[in-house]
Amino acid sequence: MIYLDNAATSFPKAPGVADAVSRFITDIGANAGRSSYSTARKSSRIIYQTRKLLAKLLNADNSSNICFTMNTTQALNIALKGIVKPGFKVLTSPYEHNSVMRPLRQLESQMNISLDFIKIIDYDIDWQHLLFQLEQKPDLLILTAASNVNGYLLPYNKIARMAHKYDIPVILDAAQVLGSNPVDTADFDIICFPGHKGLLGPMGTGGLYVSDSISLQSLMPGGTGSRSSSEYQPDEMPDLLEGGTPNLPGLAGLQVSLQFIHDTGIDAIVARKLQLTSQLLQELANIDDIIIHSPIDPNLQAGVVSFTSLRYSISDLAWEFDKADIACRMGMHCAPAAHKQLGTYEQGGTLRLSPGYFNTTAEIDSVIKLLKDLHK
Amino acid sequence: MKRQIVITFHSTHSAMAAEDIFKELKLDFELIPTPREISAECGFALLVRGMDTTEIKPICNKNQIKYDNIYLIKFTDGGKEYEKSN
Repeated sequence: MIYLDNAATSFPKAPGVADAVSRFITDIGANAGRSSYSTARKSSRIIYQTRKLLAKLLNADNSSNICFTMNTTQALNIALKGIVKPGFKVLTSPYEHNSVMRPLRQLESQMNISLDFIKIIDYDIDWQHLLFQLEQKPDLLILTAASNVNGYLLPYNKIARMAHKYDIPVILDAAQVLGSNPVDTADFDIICFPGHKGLLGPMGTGGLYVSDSISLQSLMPGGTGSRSSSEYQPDEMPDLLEGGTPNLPGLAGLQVSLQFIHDTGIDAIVARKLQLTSQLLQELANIDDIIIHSPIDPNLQAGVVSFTSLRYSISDLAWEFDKADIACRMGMHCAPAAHKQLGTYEQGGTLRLSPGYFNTTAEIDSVIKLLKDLHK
Repeated sequence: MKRQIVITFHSTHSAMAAEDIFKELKLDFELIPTPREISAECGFALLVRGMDTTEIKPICNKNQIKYDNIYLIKFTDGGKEYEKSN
């Protein structure tokens, strides 16, 4: 199979990840942070070392500011529901995934918050309007780093720095960039991320970085192994946000994939992804009747390509891809807001191809050949 | 017998961080179940041999180790007592 659905989840995983998951289950298996026998110590160290590798990637001074979750959605819900109060004014982008929009819409109806959206026209931020919006002093800015629909890489650092000038806390949804683009804790109050996409780790892993300036409450209080004599959730990070037994097999795998990313280097990973994405975009542009819905400029790309065809529906195209054993995703990509922004909502979305670090130029050639044959 | 102290922590993370630093400093230490006589908070504590509380405190402070308490183990006839450091 040619796997081009890395925006959904990366495949294959980094070398050694599957072995680490399997080894944890067969050879270790103990819970972490509860006991001091040898395998329990190993489990505690896996969590600690994985947290430290994440801190290094995020340039965080203190790894205890990073909490593990099962995915980005859980992290975003912890962040939003821990920070938002009734009547909050929240500024966001028109490119948000439903992992941001659904909690926001829920808070809109439950807590009467109001939403405002950054204006973006043809991948250009309306900076003047953004200044005006920031001057209205929203209580929070939540922003995706890159669109999962078309790879549009928002100028997230610049926007966050502007918001901070107005003392507005900023949450970054780093789902599409962590592991392949630099993300620095210096610019954000909260960063939410998956372990199974750009970090090349197992599903069921993710997390959030929370700066010391933010005080969140636990959405899921429970056992932590610490302060066990108290019936109240510890207020110390990371235990505050980590009630219950974590996904230790997954974190054992994530530890290995993070080490792979550090050894390989973010620069090499982003270079490979952009090379494959550029190849795809350039070739697609040469096929009659294909409409590209992604930025062509590599500086605006996180490695996701969306397109439609004037000759085929996206479902027929997806069927052809399936028959050719090529993995892609068609439809709304859980991001109706982004499709409304792109003008592809009414037609039911787009077909999306998202290369990963392990794809090859030969695989992209095969995809292009299929599309050329279909559009002869 | 060498002097022994026990350091307790609020969280596993802090205990792991301390363990990391003690390894680097090549201290003689061990992760042990937290003695019930002193705490029921975190499941485990660090036992450090050959040091007393006045020696370990500056090391913890210098390396930003977040500990709960430090205890000196006093061996008595047929048992031991834990003397909490101020």
